[in-house]
Amino acid sequence: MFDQQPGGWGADGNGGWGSQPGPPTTNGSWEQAPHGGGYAQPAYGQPAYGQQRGGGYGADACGDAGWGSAMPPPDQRGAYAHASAQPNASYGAPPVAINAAAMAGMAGMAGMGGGLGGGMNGVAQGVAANIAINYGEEIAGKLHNNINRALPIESLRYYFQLNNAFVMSKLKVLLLPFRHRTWARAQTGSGGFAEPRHDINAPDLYLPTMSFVTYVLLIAYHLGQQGRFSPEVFGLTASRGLGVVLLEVVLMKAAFYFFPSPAVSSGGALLDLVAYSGYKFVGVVLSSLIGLFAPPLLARAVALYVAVCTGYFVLKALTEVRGSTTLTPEVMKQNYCIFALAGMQFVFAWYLAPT
Amino acid sequence: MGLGLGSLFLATILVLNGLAILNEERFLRRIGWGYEENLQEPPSFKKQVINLLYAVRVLLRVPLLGLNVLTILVKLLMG
Repeated sequence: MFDQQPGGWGADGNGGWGSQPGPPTTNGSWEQAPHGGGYAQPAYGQPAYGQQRGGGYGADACGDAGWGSAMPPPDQRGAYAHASAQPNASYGAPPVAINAAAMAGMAGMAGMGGGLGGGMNGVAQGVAANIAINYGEEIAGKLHNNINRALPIESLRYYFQLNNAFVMSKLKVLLLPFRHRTWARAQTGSGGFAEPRHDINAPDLYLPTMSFVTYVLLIAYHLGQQGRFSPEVFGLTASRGLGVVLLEVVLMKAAFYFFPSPAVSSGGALLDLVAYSGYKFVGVVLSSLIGLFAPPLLARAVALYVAVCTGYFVLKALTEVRGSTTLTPEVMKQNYCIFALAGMQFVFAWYLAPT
Repeated sequence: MGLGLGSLFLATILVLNGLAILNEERFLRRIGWGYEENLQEPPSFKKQVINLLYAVRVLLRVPLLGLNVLTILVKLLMG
């Protein structure tokens, strides 16, 4: 059972490890690890290293750790860290595809087992740990599938591909939209739209979510200053904000549905519209922040300016969604709808403003 | 809190009920808004409305049954 074990753990100086020295070749490469030296196998990742140490200390305590005896020889470790199927000969467990998360679970479970008891007890617990890990992985896989079905994770990923430069310049576009000249989104070579980090005009969902959360907290702070805070404020404010976004997205979709034109029939991706609608929270947060410190007149002026900016942004963005065409009567009707949606930003800003 | 998710849900249910209750044989066909007779029309506002009404009738009938029953039960129990 121990003939596969590396002997390098002799550094821990105890129990089954020291008494079962491994082959000298593996010993040499493995001994560096506890001393923080470079790894002999580059594929052997840092998290896994930490877990090995955890297992090793478990062995230190009782002399015979479940985890330790499950370890493959060092020359197989590269494959192990790469989440390949690894037959666990010591326990006779079925081959399992082990990823990094499973490694973490295994190290934790087995370390615990090693700490609790030794000998056959540790082996039995190791088997139990393996079964638990398999079961957990199965459940995690099912959960992952269900989440993927319910939420468009893959399409969501696009909206968070951004960097600091994008955030700064997007904030500038949102708060000074009149100085922005080109609103067309960049295309990639394969025909899709470029990611936000490569294209300032691409919609993202980072700014909307962050400003939405900030908005909820700010409203709660406003109410707290007036002594009207209660915990339900969070839920009610979030519900109001989400309601506004939902309503506006439905109106945008409806505008492009009821007035079809040859240029666009569907009105753009749903999440694009959510992003365009969610950007209004940036302005609302700014005006509420200023309302905390500044005199009311200045705060109102800022709120008005910010609403104009948001309206202009929505106007430009939705015109871009519609696409540029010749002005037929249908396109004119779409333009009226876009103007109406831009004008509604005043209503929404007024509705969302702290009272 | 007029525009919360709850009231939006109720409003949506009511509007969808209103769209789904319009009867094709008894009402829509008599005013020239039947689905089949407008299939050949070019896309326009009226055509889109007719399409929407038809889609609501076909797709949302069963879900609306469940949602209405659920809403009525919740409203009865919790006011």
